[in-house]
Amino acid sequence: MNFSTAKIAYRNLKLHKSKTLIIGILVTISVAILIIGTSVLNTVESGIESNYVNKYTGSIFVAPSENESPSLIMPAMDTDGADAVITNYSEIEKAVLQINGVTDTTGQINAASLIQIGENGTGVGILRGVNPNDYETMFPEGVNMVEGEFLDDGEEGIILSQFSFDMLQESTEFDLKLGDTVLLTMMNNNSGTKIREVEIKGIHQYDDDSMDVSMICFVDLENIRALNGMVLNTEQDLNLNESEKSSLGTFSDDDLFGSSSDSLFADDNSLFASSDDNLFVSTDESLFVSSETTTDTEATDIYNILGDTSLRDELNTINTDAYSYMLIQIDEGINSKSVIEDLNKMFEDNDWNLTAYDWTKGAGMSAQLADVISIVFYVILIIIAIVVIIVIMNTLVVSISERTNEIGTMRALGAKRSYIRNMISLETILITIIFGIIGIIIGVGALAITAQVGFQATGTFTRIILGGDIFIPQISGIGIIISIIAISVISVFASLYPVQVALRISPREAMSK
Amino acid sequence: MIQDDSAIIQFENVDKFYSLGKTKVHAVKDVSFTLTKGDFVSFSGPSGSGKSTILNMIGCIDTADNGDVIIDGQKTTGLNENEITKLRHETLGFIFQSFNLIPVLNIYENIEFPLLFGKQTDKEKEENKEWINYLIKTVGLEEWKNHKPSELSGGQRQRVAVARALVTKPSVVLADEPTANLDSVSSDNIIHLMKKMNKNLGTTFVFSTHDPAIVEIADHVITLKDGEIVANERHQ
Repeated sequence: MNFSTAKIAYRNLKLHKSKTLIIGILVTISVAILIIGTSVLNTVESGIESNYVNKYTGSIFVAPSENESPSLIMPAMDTDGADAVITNYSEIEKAVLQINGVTDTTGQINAASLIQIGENGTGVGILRGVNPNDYETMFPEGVNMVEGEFLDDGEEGIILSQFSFDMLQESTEFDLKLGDTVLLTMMNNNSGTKIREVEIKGIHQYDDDSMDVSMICFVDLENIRALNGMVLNTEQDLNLNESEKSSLGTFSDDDLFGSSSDSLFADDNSLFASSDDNLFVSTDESLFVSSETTTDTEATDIYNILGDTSLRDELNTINTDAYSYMLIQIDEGINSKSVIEDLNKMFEDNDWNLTAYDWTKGAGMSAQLADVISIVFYVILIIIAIVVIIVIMNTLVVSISERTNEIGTMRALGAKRSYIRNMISLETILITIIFGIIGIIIGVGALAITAQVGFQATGTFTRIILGGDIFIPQISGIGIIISIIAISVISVFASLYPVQVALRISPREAMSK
Repeated sequence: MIQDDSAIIQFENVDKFYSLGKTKVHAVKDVSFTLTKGDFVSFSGPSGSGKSTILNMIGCIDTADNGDVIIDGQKTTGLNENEITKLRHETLGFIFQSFNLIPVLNIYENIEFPLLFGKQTDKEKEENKEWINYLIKTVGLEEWKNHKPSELSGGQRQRVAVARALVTKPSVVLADEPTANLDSVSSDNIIHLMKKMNKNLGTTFVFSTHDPAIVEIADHVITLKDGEIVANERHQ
């Protein structure tokens, strides 16, 4: 190929202005869409990632391997009703902090619970048990208090979400305030039904209050562990002798829950008959009992019914070293994949039945929106690409048909097929370059203007999608490169058939006209 | 076939068939002739007589179905596409009925165009530049050399085509109805220009034509009818 080929190709484009413009405008629009689309997509992805990593999930999390669908947002919804447990958390945390790139860790326990005020109001909450100081250190933006103070380490209580608070308030028509107590009820296969009473210490609200995070309420670790049945006996295979078994009591389910008038639930005087000062109350680790809120006579009666409960009490001791998940932050610039590989290798080497995951695995539906948007975007791009290829191809074929005589003449005058191929290809390349540059300028310009003006998010969904209140698209260098490569590939594909048409033109075409 | 050193083109018992739908047309029937170097040759005859087919076979655009076509001592049968392109480029020049200038090139560039397909040293490039300017001057288009073909009249365009056909200094120039799209004055000018080039450069000119003026000025006239030679005359 020499200068003359380029000169002829360029002049041909000028001569056939309308066709050049049709192809050029398509190339321009395609490149602009590609650049804007990839940049917006990158911004959305990084916005969602930043939002979740800095507020909810950390960069990496660790869960027991038997937890097949780990979720840091939603509690376990399987038949067991509780997440699998990391039992020797402190030992594992120590080892994890030794892994290169890991900067911080914190534990998390999830639970879904009914929230009640006495017998009246009922709401639901997604309980999140955390170590308050560790959690606030790792997620400075993760707690946004509307009222009250966040929990201190060791302090018992609940920080209700605004959504859960409003739900309770509406259902009770009760003027709920900080210092009031609520009953948390949870059922799962590990521990049966657990009920705890906790004091409302505050109300918080996420600024991107989407449905799946709007019900998150923070609870102290002791209460959530009790609700989740994270006690020593759930982690131990016990071989009890007859004497020990007898100490667990001899009452059948029918004895306890049967329909006779003698059963515990038979009438208004039963143990579970309501009122704030009933038997379910709070701090004791045993099943339902609080000696502070029952009369001596009642307590004695119950202990008599249950027999010797000392072993059971021991086995029901809460495991203070148990968490559902370990959340991990890593250094910026460190590849999370390599850290995950290192972690999983360490777990395997130590025979710890744990798995490390990328944050997206546990981030729930909203975070996966980015993937959905990506798929939709790329499907649209493929459709656009096919349309562009067909239009360019068709336009070039028409153009070549009109130039049959010219191409035949060139062949008669000594031009080889390679010359014709180069000339047609060069025309396509020139269009791509010239109009591709225009497309880049338009795309980058549009992004720059949007970045200056900003795009105000108008709702929760758009806040999640746009990664914050104001969308400021980042111009993506990779997006520009991808656009150039994509449009080049499109041009090559679009020119393949027209080139074949041109190569089929024989010098006879020149002689016959 | 007897090798004749003065021969530039030889046809020996050449047949050419065309398919026209389901019908097979015998376009050229057992044709034999020899054209001598420096001849000004006219193939004449009515439409469909086979003159354009013969010109196409000389130009290596068509191949013979039977017999041999020899151009400048080289049999064209069995040549591959690159060899044919090379032969066409080095030995043959073409003048077309519709001029067929490249619309995006100016007059100088149009004439220069065939030279792009051969290798040129810097010295050759300089020589070619002089040669192109000489041809432009000879065809009388010095003032138009930077103009595009669309700015020229039909006669002027055909002069450019004559210059372009000669730029590679071919042994043979093939001209298919070169005056068909020209008025009588332009036709006359072109015919005399080609005759002048034929005399000055010794290039063989081969025409397919209905134009009696060309037949009259030609020194070798082959008349065809229904694919056969009915007359093969040399004029003094």
